[in-house]
This record gives sequence, structure tokens and C-alpha cells, in this order.
Amino acid sequence: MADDYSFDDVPNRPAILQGIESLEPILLEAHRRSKGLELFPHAYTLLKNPKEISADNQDGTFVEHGGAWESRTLPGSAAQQVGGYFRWSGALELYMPTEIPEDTDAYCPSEVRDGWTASTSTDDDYIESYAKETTRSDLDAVKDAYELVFEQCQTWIIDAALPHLNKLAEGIDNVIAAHEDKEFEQVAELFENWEGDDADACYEVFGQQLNPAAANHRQMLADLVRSAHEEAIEQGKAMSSLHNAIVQAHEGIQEATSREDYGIVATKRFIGKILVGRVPYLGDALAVHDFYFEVTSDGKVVDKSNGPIDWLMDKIWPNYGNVPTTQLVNEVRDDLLTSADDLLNNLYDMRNLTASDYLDEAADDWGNQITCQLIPGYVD
Amino acid sequence: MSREYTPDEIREIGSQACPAIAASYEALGPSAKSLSAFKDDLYGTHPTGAIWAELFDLFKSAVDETPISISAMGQALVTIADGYEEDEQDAVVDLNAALSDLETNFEANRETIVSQKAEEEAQALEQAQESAANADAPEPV
Repeated sequence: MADDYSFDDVPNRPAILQGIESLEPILLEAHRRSKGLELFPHAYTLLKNPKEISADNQDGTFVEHGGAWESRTLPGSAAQQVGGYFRWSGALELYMPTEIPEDTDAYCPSEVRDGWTASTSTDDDYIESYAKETTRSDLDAVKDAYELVFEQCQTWIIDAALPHLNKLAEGIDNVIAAHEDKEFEQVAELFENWEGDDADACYEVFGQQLNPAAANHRQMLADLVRSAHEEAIEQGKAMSSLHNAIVQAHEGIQEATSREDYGIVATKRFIGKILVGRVPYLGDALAVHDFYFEVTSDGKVVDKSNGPIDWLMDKIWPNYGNVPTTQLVNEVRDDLLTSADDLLNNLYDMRNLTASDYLDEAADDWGNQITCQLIPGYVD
Repeated sequence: MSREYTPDEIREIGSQACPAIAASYEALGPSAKSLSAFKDDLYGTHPTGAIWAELFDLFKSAVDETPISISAMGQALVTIADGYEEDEQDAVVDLNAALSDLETNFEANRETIVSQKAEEEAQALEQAQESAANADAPEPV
């Protein structure tokens, strides 16, 4: 059962920016591992997640020796031998290759010794610095793309405007309900009966205009009310989608790396029915009209007029292995950039549609020319 | 089929019917004014925003000026009715003769109401600025 939300529950810019930042740890890890592997291709530990390391520890292929970690093949057998040596880097939170000591537990072939490169804390610093820079640049790229959408969706503005619009709608309804059968008639009748050379003009310009003018005011307002509420829906959909894209990024990374221990999904999907406004009328429709949109758990965003918009929910990033790597997070980053771009273009498309569908025409109908059909008694 | 009007009947339309309509329109004023603050920002930087603002400005002019026009006409009708002696109030009005008076009065009234409103707004603004300044002023020692 979907929850009902109101428009001010829609995820806002600060919350979404926080969501982007929450990707930092996993990006950092991905870049550390990838850079480490680039510099030390023999550091296979960089391809293993903590669970796998723990399992290796259990089965004797990765054991402690003299403060470091010895990697060993065929443990316990006559053929067992050392494959490499590792130290735990607190800075990188990874096992990095270190010097192979003279006194290894098992036999260490000379090819292993000759082919082995140790890493130092200097290397750690270099890798960390690179990882931080790259992560920052990834996150900034996503932020920049998202900012373009934020700029267009200052939801608090439209949220503040809608109640005033609804009040105007009620007000115009009052004007017509209160006066159309009484005062409008009285005035019209008087001017209809007015005799004299210019009397007809007066009747045309004023007397008979009260009713039609009110109807015109109501129609103009109907277009303003409708378009503003539709725009609120579009902004709400965009912001909800931006938010859910981040959540999906986390979920996708978790799935691609089979990491149950990756639990920093602090952000929850924003799902439900969001009521943007309830207006007393809409053009000729006299019934109350609900403006709302819905985000379903399978990622479809629905509103009354436009039907379902399939979004990226079924996106699956390839499994590059059981650890996050640069390839994986680059795909995630690029997909976030693309989806922000798509959302922006969709928003523009909807706005253009509003203009071409009815708003342009409504503004044109009156143009810059005020007439007595807008303001009874007005003569240029 | 035409009917005839007495000064009393004309006065009633001018002093009851017209002000009633004007008041209903004036009730829209505050909301329309509040919306002015937001009208340019609903669509971000997109051109549809300019169209919305244009339509809104037309609407706002209409609801601002319609009550002025109707009030002016109402006052003009009262002036015409008052032009008849007390003992003539039940007589039939020669609408033909009264026409040019009606038009002149209407125009004059419109202008008066418009400048009255402008003055009221200027005064209100001044008062608001004064009380804001007083709120900031230090207490006298």
C-alpha cells in the first residue's frame, strides 16, 4: 500500500547531495584497488573481498607470519610453497605486497622472490591520493549534472505558489456564483435599456461584458492553475528520480560485487503517491481535480496525463568481480550522468508541450491588448 | 421590449450591485499580489516560464482593474440619480439625456479611484518602512 505524501515531502537538493556523497566510500575503495593492481599486478589480494580473504585465512592459503601475511599454495601438503607476502595497509584498508622475508614458513621458489615487488607507505600515500582525487572528480561530475536539474526544479517556489493559485480559483468561482444571476443581470438590463446615441456602445463595452469577462478570467486562471500544477508534478518526478537513481546505484554496486557487507545504503527509495494539489475546478470541469504523481517500487513514475514513464530501474551493472573496481564505478557514474541528462531533457520536453498544447495560445489570445472583454468598461 | 428606470432604481444599481461585484473581485487582490513574487520562477530558466508570467500578468491586470472600472461606473450611476430632485425620485429617467453625464463621470471616477489606490499603496509602503526602521533603532538612553 503506497503511502500518501504531499509535495513538500519530495526529496530536496540537500538530501540528494548527501546521497551523492554517500557513494564516496565505495568509489574510494574501487579506485584504491584498481590503482593498486595497476602498480602491483601480483597483488591478487586486491581482487578479493574481506569475506574471501577470511575464507583463505580459514583454509590456510593466507596466514599470518611474523606480523605479515604469507600467501601459500597447497597448504599442509608436501608440495606447499609460498606465493607472496602481504602487509595490512591501514591507510588503504587493503592487503598490500611487502618484502618476502628470508625465513618464510614454507619453501619459497626463487622465481617468486625474483618476480616480487614490495610496496611501501609511500606507495600507499600515492595510491590514496590518486584514489581521493579520482573519487572527488567522479562525484563532482555527478553533482554538476544534478545541479542542472536542481536549477530547474526549485520546488519550494512552486510549493509556495500553489496555495495562492488555489485561493484565486475559489475566489473567481465566488465572483461568478455570487453575481451571475443577480448583479450581473441587473447591470446588463439597465444598460440594455439605456437609450441614446452612444448607448449601444456603452452597453457593448460595459453592460453586457460583466458575465463574459468573469468567464474569461476564470478560463485564464484555469490555464494558469493547470499548468502550474502540472509543472509541480514534473519537478516532483524529476527530484524523486534523481534521488532514487542514487539509491539504485548503491543497490547495483552491492549486487554487482555480491557484497552483503556493503551496507551503507543510508538512503531509502522515495516511493509512493504524492499529492501535489487539489484544485476546485479546471476549465469546464466542475469537479475537484487531483494533481498527483506516483513512484512505484519497480521504478515507474506515473501521473494522470502522461501514463507510465519507464525509468532505469532494471539497470544492472556487469559483475566485474567480487570487489568494486574502477570499471564498475565508472559505469555507475556514467549512468548517473546519463539519467540526469535524460531527466533534464524530459523536463524540457514536458514544458515545451505545455506551451504548445495550450499555454502559448492562452497568452496569445489576449496578447498585449487589453480589451473590454477582460476589463469591462475599458476603451483604448 | 424596453423598461423604464426611476432615479431610485438607478441609485440602487450604482450603490449596491456595482460595489458588491467590485468587492468580490477585490477579494482576489491579496493572492494575486502574493503570486507576483513567484511568477517568474516557476519554470526555472525555461522559456515556458515567460509565457506563464505573461498570462499571469494579463490575469492580474484584469482582476485589479475590473473592480476599479465597476466601482467607477457605480459611482457615476449614483451621481446621475442624485441629479434628480427628491420629489422626482419616482419619475422615469430620460436615459438618453443622462448619457454624456454618465460617460464623463465614469472617466473622472476611474481616474480618482486609480490615484487614490496609488496613494494608499505609497502610504502603506512608507509605514512599513518606518516601522522596520523603528524596530532597528536603538533605545534612547
